[in-house]
Amino acid sequence: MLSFILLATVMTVGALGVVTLRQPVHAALSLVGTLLTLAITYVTLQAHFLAAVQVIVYAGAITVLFLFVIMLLNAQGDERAHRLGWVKPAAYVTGVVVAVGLMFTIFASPTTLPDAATISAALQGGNAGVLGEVLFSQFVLAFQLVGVLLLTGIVGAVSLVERRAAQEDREQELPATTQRERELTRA
Amino acid sequence: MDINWLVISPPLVLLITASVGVLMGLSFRSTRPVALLSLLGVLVALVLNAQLFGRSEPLSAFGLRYQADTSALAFNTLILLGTALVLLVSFDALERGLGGSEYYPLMLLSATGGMVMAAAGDFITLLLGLEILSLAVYVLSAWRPNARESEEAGMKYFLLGAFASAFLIYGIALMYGATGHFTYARVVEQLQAQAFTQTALATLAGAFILGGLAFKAAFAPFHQWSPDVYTGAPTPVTAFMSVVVKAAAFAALLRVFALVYPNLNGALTQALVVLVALTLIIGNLAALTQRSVKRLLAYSAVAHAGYLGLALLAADTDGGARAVIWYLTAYTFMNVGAFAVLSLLTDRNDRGDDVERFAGLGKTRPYLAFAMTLFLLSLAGIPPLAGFIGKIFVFQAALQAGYTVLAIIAILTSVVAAFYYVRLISVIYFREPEYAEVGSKSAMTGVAIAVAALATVALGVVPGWWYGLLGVGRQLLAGF
Repeated sequence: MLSFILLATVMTVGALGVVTLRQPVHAALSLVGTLLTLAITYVTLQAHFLAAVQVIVYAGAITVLFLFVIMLLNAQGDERAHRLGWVKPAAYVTGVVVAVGLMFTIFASPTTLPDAATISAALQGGNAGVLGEVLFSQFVLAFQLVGVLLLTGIVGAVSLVERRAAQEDREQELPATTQRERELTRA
Repeated sequence: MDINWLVISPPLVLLITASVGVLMGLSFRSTRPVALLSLLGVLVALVLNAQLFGRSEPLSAFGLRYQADTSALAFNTLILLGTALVLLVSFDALERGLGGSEYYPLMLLSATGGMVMAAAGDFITLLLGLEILSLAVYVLSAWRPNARESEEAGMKYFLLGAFASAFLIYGIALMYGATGHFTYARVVEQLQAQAFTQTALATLAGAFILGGLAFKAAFAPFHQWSPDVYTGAPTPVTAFMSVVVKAAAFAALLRVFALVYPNLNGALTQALVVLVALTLIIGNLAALTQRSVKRLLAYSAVAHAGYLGLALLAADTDGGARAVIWYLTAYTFMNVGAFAVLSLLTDRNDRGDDVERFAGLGKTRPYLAFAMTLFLLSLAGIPPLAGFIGKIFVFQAALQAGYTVLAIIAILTSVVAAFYYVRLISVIYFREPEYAEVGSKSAMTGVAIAVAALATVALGVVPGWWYGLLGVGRQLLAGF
């Protein structure tokens, strides 16, 4: 219980940091902290596979993506840029509604959780093998289709980018008259 | 787990062709070799698909997760035919300036997704099929080089599509929460069980799933994306979207509506009634005021989704399901035909699709004008063409299922529709040409137009053959 309280505190502080910190990089790093603490919580719950996935996918890949975007956009803190007036009240309302909803589900209809023995039996020690067996037997079609989906994504992304690059090359090679013509047609 | 290779062979052939096509595209400057390979792949898949028709044993793979029942086979035939025609239309259009040989593999991948979607026996397979189908089309919508509106089309479709997918995923998750299963068979079993208590959750799930699929099918008010995306995308891709994406979406809707929704709250059926009524009215009225032919056809596609939706409401009867498939067959040919004609009239960069391009076409290019007239008349539902017979089947199914008011709305709006189709025909024949030299020539597109025109006439004159074929073998939609 003590370890949970400690972890929960760190997690909450991290989550607050994500929302309140001005520098995007700081916020992203704070998010890493939160996600890693969550992974440790999974370990204490005996869900080892989930913990590993949490580290690899969330703390690893997704945060790297965040940092990439921050780097590419060269975002410098809160720029107080153009904001829609209704966003802030709407965010508050949404937050309150979600909080009330969560409270309602927790307190209004309390369901007793099964005891630790039942849970760890169901998790089978967070065994990746069990998960793999389900994935490759029951959900093998879905598994393969996800592969096709990723292939589609890669082919699509590469072809779009590559075509644009080829186009820019061609545009530079074009003689002045055709360039002018092009601009005219574009206008 | 049973992996029935014969059953999954048609989408598998497309997938393999697409993979080979990607690699082959690297070694050729021209896009034509990949185009021919793709066409070959589609034809092989078509043959493999056709030989599955009318078998007496139930065809499924992966434990009911992939079901090749008559409905799936018919939809897959439509998807493959539509893809083949669009490939023919793209053949010269791509060489004229669209470029990029990855176009064909992406189109094949998209068709693969559509076929999987049509045969999906569970929600996960449905979702993944839909994503594969959509992702490739998002890219293809942005295919026109140096065209802002094409980039806009791709981006808009992608963002709104992601939004719709989120709806669908949320619905599926809720359905899993309510029933504990993904496969339609188990979900229905749970919904029908006496001890089932999560009715509210299941209804909410049904609403979200309907919303997600209604977006793909372009039902009003989820149709907002379609005019912009249809206009921005290259004309062959627009043709692909309007027939293949639509066929896949309706295949999924048909199966879900015939099997799952009868066990859910009746309010969901009422929701679809409202959607269909809105689609019919908005689609047809908005089409009246369009200056661009692509936009006109986009709104006409929305309107046709309304007629299909009308048949969808009667999905749990045999006539309704058959009407959906029959109407889509007619729609595939006449719509691809119309877009094929349009693709011959636009500029090199696929720009320019205003009504004036068609002015005087009757004099300058009489055959093209004749074909276009045929497609437009069929879209308007003039006898004896395919569109007319399709409408008859749809209205009949709707009336039998008791949707009299909706059928009357549909009949009234199709009178309105006739007005804007016929106006375009009058531009073709009774206006002087305004462009010195219009468009281009392409033998392959000519073949596509000829096939589409012949099919439009043949389906109208001999409607019984395809309608009868849908009743061969086991039942149209596999029960469990």
